[in-house]
Amino acid sequence: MTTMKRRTLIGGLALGAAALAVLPATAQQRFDGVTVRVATFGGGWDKAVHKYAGYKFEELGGKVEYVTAPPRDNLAKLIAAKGRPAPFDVVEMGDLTWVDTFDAGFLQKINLANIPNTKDLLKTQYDEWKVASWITQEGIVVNVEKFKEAGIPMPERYRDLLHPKLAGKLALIDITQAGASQLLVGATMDAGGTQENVDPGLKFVKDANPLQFWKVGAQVVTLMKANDIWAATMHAGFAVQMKRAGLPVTFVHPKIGTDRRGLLKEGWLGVVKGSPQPRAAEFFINEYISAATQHGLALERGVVPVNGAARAKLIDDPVLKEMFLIADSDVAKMVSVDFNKFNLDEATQKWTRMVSSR
Amino acid sequence: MRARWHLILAPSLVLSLALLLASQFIFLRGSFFKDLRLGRLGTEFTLENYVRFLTDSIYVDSLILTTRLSATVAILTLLLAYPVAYILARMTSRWSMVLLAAIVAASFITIVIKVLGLIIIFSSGGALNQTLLWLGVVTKPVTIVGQPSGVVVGLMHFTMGFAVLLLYGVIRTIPRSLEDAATIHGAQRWRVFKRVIVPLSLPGVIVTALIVFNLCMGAFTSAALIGGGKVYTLPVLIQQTVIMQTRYAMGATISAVLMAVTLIINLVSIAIAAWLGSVRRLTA
Repeated sequence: MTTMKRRTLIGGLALGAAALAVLPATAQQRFDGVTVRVATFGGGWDKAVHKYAGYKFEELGGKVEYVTAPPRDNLAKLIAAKGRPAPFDVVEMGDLTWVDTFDAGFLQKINLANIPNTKDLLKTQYDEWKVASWITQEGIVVNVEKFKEAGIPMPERYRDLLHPKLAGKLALIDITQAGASQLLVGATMDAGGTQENVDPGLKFVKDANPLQFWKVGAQVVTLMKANDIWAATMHAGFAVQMKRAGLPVTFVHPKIGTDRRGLLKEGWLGVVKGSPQPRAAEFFINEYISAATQHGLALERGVVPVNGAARAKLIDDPVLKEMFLIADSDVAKMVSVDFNKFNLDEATQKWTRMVSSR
Repeated sequence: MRARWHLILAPSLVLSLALLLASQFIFLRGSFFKDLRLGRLGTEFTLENYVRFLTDSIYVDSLILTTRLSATVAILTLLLAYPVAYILARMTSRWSMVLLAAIVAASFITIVIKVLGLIIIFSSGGALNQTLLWLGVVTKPVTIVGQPSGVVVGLMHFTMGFAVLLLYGVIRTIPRSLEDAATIHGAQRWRVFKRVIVPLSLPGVIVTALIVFNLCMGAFTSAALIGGGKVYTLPVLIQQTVIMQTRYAMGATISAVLMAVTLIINLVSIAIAAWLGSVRRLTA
């Protein structure tokens, strides 16, 4: 073999070795025969997630099974399965449930190198234990026509809902639902209180004396359609869905104090401790927070994307532009509930006592 | 040799007890330990949860409300279901089977759909309220959401089909010839009903009432959806305690009290019914 040929051969082998070394990083990993179990919301949310994220996993040979229930129910399942194999691999949590799930030791660390889409998220929206999956903006859905007919001014703050003409025409979120914490904290802070003591918020709830405390969003839509209620505290996504269904509604991000406006609630994804498929779980999470999935979920389900690139696109949709606070400067002024300060157990006890004693 | 027919009951009794005890034992055992949240329990035996139940007005009031609503539904359902069951049982037309099939089919509809249907029917712009307003029966729309009376309506909607089916079976076992004989001997229609039909169907009526009552004591959906977060029955409190607060021991305590009270009411009712039956036989 000539020197030239030897060099060519060595060069070829080196190139081949380099190509092999690079291959795992660039080629799409396959998940043939792998099933990833995802605990998430029902009510069509699971189908939307599958439409935008889950199918990609299945295109790579895997299978996605959804365990649908509210986050607290899924936490209950984790508690019930303690000491036995993990009942699912990925769990979707609300911002309170995340604290409890983490404290109870049900999560395992995430390898963020496997979730490159975190590059489009804010630094506060992911760490080695959790990745943000969606944002909802809590506030007030208002039937514009009914307010106009009754001569009620558009509300700017929660306390504007105490208007006498709204008696019996109001639905507030029930304490068992995730957004109730935002309602209590928002009404409290607007009355000058702090997250540590939400008594002013509870007083607002008592004074409002709503027609109902809603547990199921569909029920509010039914009551809104029937004109039984004219305003409801819920997240902006419901306003989007109602508006798209033809209801004359808009969404109010309530002012809180002098310089804050609107309330944030975030969803989180985690990998369940003991999951036999952590790599598959991380792939799923990565697809979930991709710009395409986040934009799709925003259009279809009315949540605000955690992915910045997807959020920027919302401005193109007139309904979303009307209902959501999109600009970073607006989002920065929104209030988040700090569950290290806000004691939901105590608030729930007080709420139950107050409502059942009426 | 006498056949021991009661032995036939043994397998189903053993199976029912095994399923009941196996599923409830671990959960109820937890009621005797301190709640450490997130499904964690203390290790020392305590009656603290039961003391709390009996001394906290939330739980006691909820127990009274649950029992009151369930009893009301049982009585009202019987009053409405009995005539329907009687007419269906005595109908000779083929329509009786069609109507009965319709009731069976309606019983299969999920309670969530039934409840949402009721909410639409009773909505302020709904046909019912519009008619009542037009007739001048009411001055403002009647609503069922957030009202105990609304929960009663929802529970009746849930249990009515079962009650009609149970009573239909009971009345079908009463020979029509007995009514005919009483009529031939000069008894008026009302007297036939009072002296023949009611006494003969009474055991079945009591069983039906108890089944409806038991269903209502454990019913969650109607109270949760129609109650609008304002009607705190024990099942609603259990859901809130277990799911929302993950206080399993307290949830188990509420369940245990609910089960015990329901059982006691059933046993006392059966005892009273048996006593009334023996009194009637003595005085007949």
